[in-house]
Amino acid sequence: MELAVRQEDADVLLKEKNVLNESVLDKYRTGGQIVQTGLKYIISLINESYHLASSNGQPISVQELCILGDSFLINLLSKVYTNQVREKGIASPTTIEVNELANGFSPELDDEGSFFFTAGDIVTISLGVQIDGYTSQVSHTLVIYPPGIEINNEIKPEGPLLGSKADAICASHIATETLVGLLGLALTPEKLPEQIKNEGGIHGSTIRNIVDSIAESYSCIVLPGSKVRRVRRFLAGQSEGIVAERDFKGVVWDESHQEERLLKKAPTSQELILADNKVKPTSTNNSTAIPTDEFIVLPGEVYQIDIRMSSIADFNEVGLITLEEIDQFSGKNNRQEFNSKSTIHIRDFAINHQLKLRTSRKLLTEIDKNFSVYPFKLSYTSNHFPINLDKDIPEQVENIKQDLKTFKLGLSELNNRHLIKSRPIQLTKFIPLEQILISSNPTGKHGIDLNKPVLPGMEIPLPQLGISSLKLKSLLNKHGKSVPNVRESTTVIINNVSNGEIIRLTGGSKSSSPSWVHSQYQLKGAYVESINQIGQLLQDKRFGIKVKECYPFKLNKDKSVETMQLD
Amino acid sequence: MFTCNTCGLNFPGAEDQRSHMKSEWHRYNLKRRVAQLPPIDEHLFNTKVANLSVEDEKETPVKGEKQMTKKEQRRREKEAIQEKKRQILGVAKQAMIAKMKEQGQELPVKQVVTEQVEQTETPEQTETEKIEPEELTEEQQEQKIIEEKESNRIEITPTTCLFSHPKYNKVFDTVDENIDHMFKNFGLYIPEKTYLVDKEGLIGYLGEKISYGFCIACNYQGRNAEAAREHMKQKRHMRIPYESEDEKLEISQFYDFSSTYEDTSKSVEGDDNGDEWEDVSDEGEGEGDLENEGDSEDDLPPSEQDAIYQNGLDLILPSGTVLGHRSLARYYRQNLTPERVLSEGQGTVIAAETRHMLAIRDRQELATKKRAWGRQKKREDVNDRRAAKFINQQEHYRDQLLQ
Repeated sequence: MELAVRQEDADVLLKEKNVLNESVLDKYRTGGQIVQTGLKYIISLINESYHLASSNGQPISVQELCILGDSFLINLLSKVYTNQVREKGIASPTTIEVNELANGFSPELDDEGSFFFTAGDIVTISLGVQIDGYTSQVSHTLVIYPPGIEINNEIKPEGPLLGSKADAICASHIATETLVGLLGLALTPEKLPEQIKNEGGIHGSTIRNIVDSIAESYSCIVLPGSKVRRVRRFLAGQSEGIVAERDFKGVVWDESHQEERLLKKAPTSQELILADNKVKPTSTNNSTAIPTDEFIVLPGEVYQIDIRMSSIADFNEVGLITLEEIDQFSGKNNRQEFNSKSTIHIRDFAINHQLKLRTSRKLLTEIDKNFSVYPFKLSYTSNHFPINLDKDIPEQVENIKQDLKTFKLGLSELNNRHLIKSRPIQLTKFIPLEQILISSNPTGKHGIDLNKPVLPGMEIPLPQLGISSLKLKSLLNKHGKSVPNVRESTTVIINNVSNGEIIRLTGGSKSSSPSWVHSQYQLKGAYVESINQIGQLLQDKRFGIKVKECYPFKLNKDKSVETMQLD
Repeated sequence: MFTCNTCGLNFPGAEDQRSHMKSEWHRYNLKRRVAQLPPIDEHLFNTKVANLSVEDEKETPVKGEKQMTKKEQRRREKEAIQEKKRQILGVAKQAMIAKMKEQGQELPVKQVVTEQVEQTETPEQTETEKIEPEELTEEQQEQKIIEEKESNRIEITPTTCLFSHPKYNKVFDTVDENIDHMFKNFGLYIPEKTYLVDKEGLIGYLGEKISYGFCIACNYQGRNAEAAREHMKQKRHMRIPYESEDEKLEISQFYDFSSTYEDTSKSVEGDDNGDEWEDVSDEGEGEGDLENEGDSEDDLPPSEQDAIYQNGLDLILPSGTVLGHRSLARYYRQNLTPERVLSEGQGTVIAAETRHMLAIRDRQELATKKRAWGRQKKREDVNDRRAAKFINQQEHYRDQLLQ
């Protein structure tokens, strides 16, 4: 690698700048407020368009929702910290994923076909902003209801959502809330539930066990890609899979954890496990980049809780859930059930290359200048980009479409030279364990799917069964079944600066109250007591965990969404 | 009426006039007239002629005896010069003796002795030693001239007009009045008046120059101040020469141009050095070399400091363009990629990046591996050599290509 940063500078950038103080907290809080407002704005758009059906004719498509959300965020960002910070912007482009879509779905305006929601869909909205590198991100899953009935001059849904989707929503909501409380207890370890206190502080394994137990009691699976990770300045997981981040601290779920769980259940687990005679390499020095559960949550850190869940109650067989990438070049998956090209790109700064095309050089300078180290969409480079909501929107949309054409060519060269990497669109797929076991696997676990962004040390999805990611991908062709997923994500600061409290930058009841769903399951398992205890502490205003949520700005057309209560 | 204007005579008739015109006397007067001299009367002319004829008579026998050869002529001329010199020397000696006597000193004995020796010496010897007195006399002559000048010198104060004859007595109260007078009447222009700091000194210096009989413009050397003045008036040399470097330097002591130097040096510093210093302060410590350079630049004399060559290798044009020296062309010609300046975000990501560390291996492990490879290679080489040794001892021919 050509680039390097001096050790002193690295210490400043990685350590000193991450120490919480008033100005840092203020940047986080402002970012959080903008994210909250953006989330509220998109939810209100969906409500207006689908639930209240106020816009006669065609509802707003996903493309439009994405660009409107991004424009809204940019407009808000332009009003804060003007000339005070060098870098601010969108940390993760607005993505709107329906049902089985898991990642990176944020169609460009010129995408073939438009995407609409139907009643009964679960829609995940994700977005994030950064101010001076201090990043706050959010994801929230809401339910699209059929046209509601009017009660007391208010349109309300006829009833709650039932079934496997509801289970996943419940589980992920409870898991997120519990984790917020649990992280808050890092400030006051004396209030920790006995069970966790006996483990000696909040470990990574504590977090994993709690989330796993919640998921299990709702017959859900924590999806690969879920994580509870520490966020640092400019390091908020935006370039996971590209940059192997030093001192990674966090719990990450992937297929291997599902595998482990399944093998534990099997009575003849030893026969299935692949004999691994190879000595694992101990010589490499990047062990800190490989996530492990052996860490303790400390006050003064910022965490991103990002939980994705899918219910497996509908499947009668044992299996695991994995993510399938949409082909990067054709924009299709194997069964032609979904067509869309990846639209979110991120610059890999470690790579430098003299480009041939003038358009690509121009695009690269634009990217280096404007988007810092965060992912971007091609439409952001347009001159007409932040759509002015007061003016004629269709005309502006047309202008952006025209601008996109010029940069498309440049983008492909950047992609071919690996200067930028596209974030793939992923689908959640269920694959029966039986199919994995009966398939022949002559190559063993050799072979890594380079298109799949994975954290270091997680290149092989099923290490014990010896299944490589390429093998798993080929198995998905025949046996994969789509499964809807739910994602709840929030950024929290364990604030130790002033009167110890946990600041919830994004999510929570202020911007995204959970949809009205009903699950047939109840909490059970080893951690029930602890979870209940944390829930009580969160309710207790005086002696419990102090949670401060970021309020969104007031929207102009603030039409409150119908209250949907959780079971 | 018949007259002769040359001689101032009247004649009763034309015959008389014609005869006069043919006379030697008239011819002589005519020559005098050409020389702008007044005519002389006949009597005076006759006496003059009589005197000359006497001299002629004295000389003529010699001439008549023998035609003078060129060699002799030269010798005579030489002798005449020597005689003259001797006379001057004698005068000078006497003056010296007189002076010394006045001061109550005695002549050094040695000198007297040498004089006596000289006197007693044979003429041949004097001939050989002629050079010595000649040299001496040159110095003496110079001294004498100076003395003469000194004696001729008249004091000209700075308030006195430099060019007017003393009889007009043009003396003013102030130097400025004097300068004004000289400007109006004689057109004396004083160059660079704004930077002139010592007016009195300048006028005094010019006055002194004139008092010694020099022209201020062309350094013509007159006998005395009056001669110089006359010369200046005639030639319109009533000006201060201010063109060549020497002329400027001659009167430079009365001027002060330091204010202009400061201006230029300041502007130079403001334009270039100022930036340099800024850079130095920006980059903090560890720029000792640059600082030293700056110091040495300051030490340079002002004339070099404001020169366009800043460090001897580049030429800075007034437009700000810097022309590099040819000897450094190879450095200017190189095409370096511009240095990438990372933003904070990029820097953070690069600092947190561990991909490049994947290449780092355990040294010990690598060393053992290398040893193993080395051993294997050596063994292969040995086998190859052994096989090559026996290649010709095979019983049956085998085509290598078909193996």
